[in-house]
Amino acid sequence: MAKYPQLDDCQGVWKIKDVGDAVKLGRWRRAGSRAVVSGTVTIDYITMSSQGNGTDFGDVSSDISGRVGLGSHTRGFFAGGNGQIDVIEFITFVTTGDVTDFGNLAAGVNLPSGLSNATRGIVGGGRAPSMTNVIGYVTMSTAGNASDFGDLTVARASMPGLANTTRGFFAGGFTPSEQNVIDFITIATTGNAQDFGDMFESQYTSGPACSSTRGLTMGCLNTSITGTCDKITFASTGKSIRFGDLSTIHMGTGGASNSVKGFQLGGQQANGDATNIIDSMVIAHGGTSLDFGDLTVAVGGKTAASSGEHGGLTDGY
Amino acid sequence: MANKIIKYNLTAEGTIPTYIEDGGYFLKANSNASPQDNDMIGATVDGSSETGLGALTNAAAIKNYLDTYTSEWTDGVDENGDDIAFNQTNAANMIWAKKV
Repeated sequence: MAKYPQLDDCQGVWKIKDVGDAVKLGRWRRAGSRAVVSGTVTIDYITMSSQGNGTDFGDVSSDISGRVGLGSHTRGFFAGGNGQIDVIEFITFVTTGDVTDFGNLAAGVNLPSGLSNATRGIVGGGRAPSMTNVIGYVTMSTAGNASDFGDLTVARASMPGLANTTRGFFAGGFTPSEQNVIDFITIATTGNAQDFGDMFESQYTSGPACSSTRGLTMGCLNTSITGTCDKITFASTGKSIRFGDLSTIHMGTGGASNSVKGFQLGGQQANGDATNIIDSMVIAHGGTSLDFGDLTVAVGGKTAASSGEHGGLTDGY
Repeated sequence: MANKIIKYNLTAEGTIPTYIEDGGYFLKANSNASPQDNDMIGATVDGSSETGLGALTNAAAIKNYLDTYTSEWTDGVDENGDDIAFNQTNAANMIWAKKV
């Protein structure tokens, strides 16, 4: 995919035809691009370029937590869930409304991880009810059941999924002991995951955000609930580094991003209560997250989110 | 033909050994450098003679091994928010069920 100059990246030369194709195919970054989040039955959305509160988008098919979210340029997906649910369902970002059934995972899983590029959606790990190492994938433009992709190096759940257009990463997790492992896969192929490096510290249940070059894990559970954020640089193997903090101490957020900002939607506070906080962080800068707005409802620590502009889709623009 | 339930490490390149069919279970930290810094439990491919770091020859042997390092593990929380203890017997049976 060509690299297209954007408002925050105006270097280079591009072909008008490429821009036209990008617009027609729905992969041109849009000022109104949305992130969606669901922790219960309600789906909220935010417009990522405009600070403000969440707005009701529609409903998922059942009132459960523990799903994972992932997104193409046009569709947002929710998969799995508490009770070992195998359902995959989707929304179309530009059109509010309830979910549509897409297909099924190979087996029901709670708290799986998810990531995507523009073509494939990947769901890995989770509790089935034992920890599973299974990675499955769907072609997001075509409804159907998930196919086998390969295995994680470590069977685990509750790990954020990160991606650029080429590689997908599974960071940390719960086995049921906290893990520091980072696995990676090549999204366009199939095969087993491979060790990439280690997290700054063992952790799980943080929310993901990614640009084309960096992945953030934001707000984790590491013995206790923390608001810490770590950074992985996709081009180099090695340890993640501590990169910032959420605006308040909470974890299990729904993580979404465009290629500039990461958003953490809802989550569980240190006292156990669900929150409706929306945080944002500039992925290139780190530091302390800024308050972006509030969701219409508080959602707990097993929340799923997705967007149509994340690092798995944007190839550097 | 038959497979084995074994303890093993990832390869030095961080890949899953080719003799592992289904693995990555119940990690035990060791003193090796990453990516070989965890001992894992897994089932070998059918017919493999590999024993990795050692074979676990029955469910009781798996439980005895898990008992050596998982006593403080918890397995989520119940509806009251209380920790659920990790059940070594159930875990051992789950792993042993991968034996063919």
